[in-house]
Amino acid sequence: MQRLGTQRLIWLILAAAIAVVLLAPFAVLFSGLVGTGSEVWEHLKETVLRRYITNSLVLIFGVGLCTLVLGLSLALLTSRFRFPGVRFFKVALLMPLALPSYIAAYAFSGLVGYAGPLHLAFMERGIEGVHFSIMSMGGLIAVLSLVLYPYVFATARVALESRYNSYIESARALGLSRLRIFCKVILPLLRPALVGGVFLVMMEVLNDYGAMKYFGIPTFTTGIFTAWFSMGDLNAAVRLALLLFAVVAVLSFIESRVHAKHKVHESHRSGQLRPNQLTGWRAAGATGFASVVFIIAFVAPVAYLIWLLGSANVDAALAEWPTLASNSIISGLSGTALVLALVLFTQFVRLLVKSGFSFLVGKSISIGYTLPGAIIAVGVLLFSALIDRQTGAHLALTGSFTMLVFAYAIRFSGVAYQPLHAESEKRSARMFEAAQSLQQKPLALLRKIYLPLSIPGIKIAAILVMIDVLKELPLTLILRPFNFSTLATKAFEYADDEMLGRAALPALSVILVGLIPVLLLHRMLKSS
Amino acid sequence: MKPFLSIAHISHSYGKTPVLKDCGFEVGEGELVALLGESGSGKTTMLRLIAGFERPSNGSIILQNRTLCSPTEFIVPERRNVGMVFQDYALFPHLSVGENIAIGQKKNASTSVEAWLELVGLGGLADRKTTQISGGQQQRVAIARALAAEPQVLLLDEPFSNIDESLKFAFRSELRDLLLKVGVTTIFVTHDTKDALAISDKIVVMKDGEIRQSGTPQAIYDRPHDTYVAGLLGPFNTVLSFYNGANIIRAEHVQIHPDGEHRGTVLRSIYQGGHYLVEVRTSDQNILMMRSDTHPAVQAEIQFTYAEHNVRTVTNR
Repeated sequence: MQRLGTQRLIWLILAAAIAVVLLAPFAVLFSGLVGTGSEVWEHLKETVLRRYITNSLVLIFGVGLCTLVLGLSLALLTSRFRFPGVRFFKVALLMPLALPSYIAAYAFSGLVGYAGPLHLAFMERGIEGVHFSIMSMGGLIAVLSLVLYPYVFATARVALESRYNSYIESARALGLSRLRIFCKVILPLLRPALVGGVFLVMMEVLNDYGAMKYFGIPTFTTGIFTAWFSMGDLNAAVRLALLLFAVVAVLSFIESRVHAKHKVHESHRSGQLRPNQLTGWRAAGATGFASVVFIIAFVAPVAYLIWLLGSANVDAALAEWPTLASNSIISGLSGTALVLALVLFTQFVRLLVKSGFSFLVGKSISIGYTLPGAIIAVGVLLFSALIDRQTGAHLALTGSFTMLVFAYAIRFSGVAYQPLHAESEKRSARMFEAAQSLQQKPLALLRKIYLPLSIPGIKIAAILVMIDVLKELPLTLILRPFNFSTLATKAFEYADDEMLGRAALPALSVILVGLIPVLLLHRMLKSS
Repeated sequence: MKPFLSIAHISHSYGKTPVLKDCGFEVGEGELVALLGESGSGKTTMLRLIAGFERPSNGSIILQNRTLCSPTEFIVPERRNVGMVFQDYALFPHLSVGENIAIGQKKNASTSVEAWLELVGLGGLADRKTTQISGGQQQRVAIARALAAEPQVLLLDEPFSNIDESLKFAFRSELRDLLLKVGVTTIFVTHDTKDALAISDKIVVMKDGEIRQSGTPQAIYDRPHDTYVAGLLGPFNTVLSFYNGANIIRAEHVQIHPDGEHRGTVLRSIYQGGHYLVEVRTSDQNILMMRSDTHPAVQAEIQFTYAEHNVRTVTNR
């Protein structure tokens, strides 16, 4: 490395500095382990910790199993068969992804609850008692599964539609029956995709705060909030965050092992496999099943929110909407700008200096995406408090907008890493080399080659990061400046205070922007 | 005289896999040199080392008194003045054909973009997008782009691999003429012996990360050092094998002749377009290949002859 040339060395040092700053909060978090636990921690450990652990585990495995069954069956149905409406369902069944879990939680429970439209409609016809409380572990698993199954649905569909055609075709040519092809060929080939999809689901479950809080199910995440907000004890929050971190680390490890072990050689695209045409009652059954899932998971909660809007004080909701929306957009734009700048810079340096170290620098800033927002929030909180203490500035950084945007950068750099990293793969890497052999200096490379070539990736990354920031809840709740509310935090707060009507407008706004990446995802699935 | 470009004791590995072992060769000014070898022989890695995209674990590359790399020095690619044409051309998709060529031009360049395009037979295409021209045209743009930066050495990675067999003959001569006209020292990589023989001043044969032999095409063909090099350049016969070596003779130096002093039975004859390659089992159970203008019947008893001065001694490798 000492012979990189001074110019490249400076670039590399800058990139490394970025990584160090982004990772610093985690280091601070781990240093929180040193020393003894606080009284609150000891108290938590003796009373509720066991419940946190069992609840969290039951949730991630329960939701994991439900999304696996639902996602896989819908993926098989829409990719291997043709029935009325199948093209519509390919998009429609992705849409529940647009519902943040904290919005889905109160929409579903309100929908079937005592004051919900279902019960009211039955009451008008003189039928009493058609209302349920779904505020239980089973209810929470059902709600989270309904909005998270699209992860499994999407990853399984990619695998089913494009990758393994020639394997399936050769199995057919060998005369295997459909059932045997499914059990012996498709399922084993799908395993990495399914594990990947379920892993994403589990990460989302661990990242959730709003739904668990609303349903009153105590888990690690809600525990972190309780320790910090109700008891004001950062020490206990840090310890809980680290335990959650350990769960994430174990799951990531299992996922990567499965991925490495079952690496399947992707067959060349051998044209689309023709799906089987369903007719008669089978076709009706398929359409019916897909419709039921779509209606329950997306149409019903959205319709309920619109219905709520009609019953609520619309003027009040509209009056505060511009402030909430502009706060959301400002934090979204700031977060996106910072994320793009950091990821583009580190990826550029990765191309400029090809070494294991520069790869590590580029990769390391993306790890925040696999970590629950609550962990990052606690880390950033500790980090800013530390700097404030060192500089003697009272609450200069802690609780500031700057630290919120900084936390977004940690949490969502991984979102931008994927599309921008893909851009810097082989073909672009060779363009980059070509430009170097044409005597382009680093700054010219960045300006004339790297940035223009990255534009498609930048567009996708910007949309994805922007929307993720707009939907984000736990991190924003902990780190936002005093009196700073976004659409997401307000939707959650109103719902948490049982002011469902007031929550409807901000919730619908979040869902609407959330549909954009869903449609993007659909286009990507179609072209791959 | 000192060589223009000198490559000495180069070793390189990707991770723990060694790809080049103590390689060295020299290139004279204005020469056209072919790096010939099968895939995995390390020839493309050699190009990338000269271009500066990789840093060798040992050895040095010196271009006209300038050390491009050595165990203590390293010049980054953009300061080497070495041009490279990639196998997939790597044209910048966000720039037009003309802009692609202009990007590397020096400030006081004597040849205009249009003149470069004329030179590669693409006059008037400067405003096209790189996606609007054919693959062959893209390659010409890539060559013009590399030349326009006025490099001291031009590197071409598999320049003939994407060319139809029927057009290859013309393209080889055209490329050779262009490079001669510009007068640039050139190293190209190929796995096709015919390309190397047809246009290069010098061939460097690589195998498993080592340089087996280098020299003029005639020298390499006529006096191969080992059996691998001999076989790479054309079919040959083992007249006599001995411990760690053999006496060999090329197929075209063995003639079917009614008064030939050797006898054998025809096993098969393979039509090669214009002549036949005939496989013969000799009376002492050796199998020999020979060229024939006529088509001998299978199982026919024939007589053949060859001149002793065409027999070469090579090592077994």
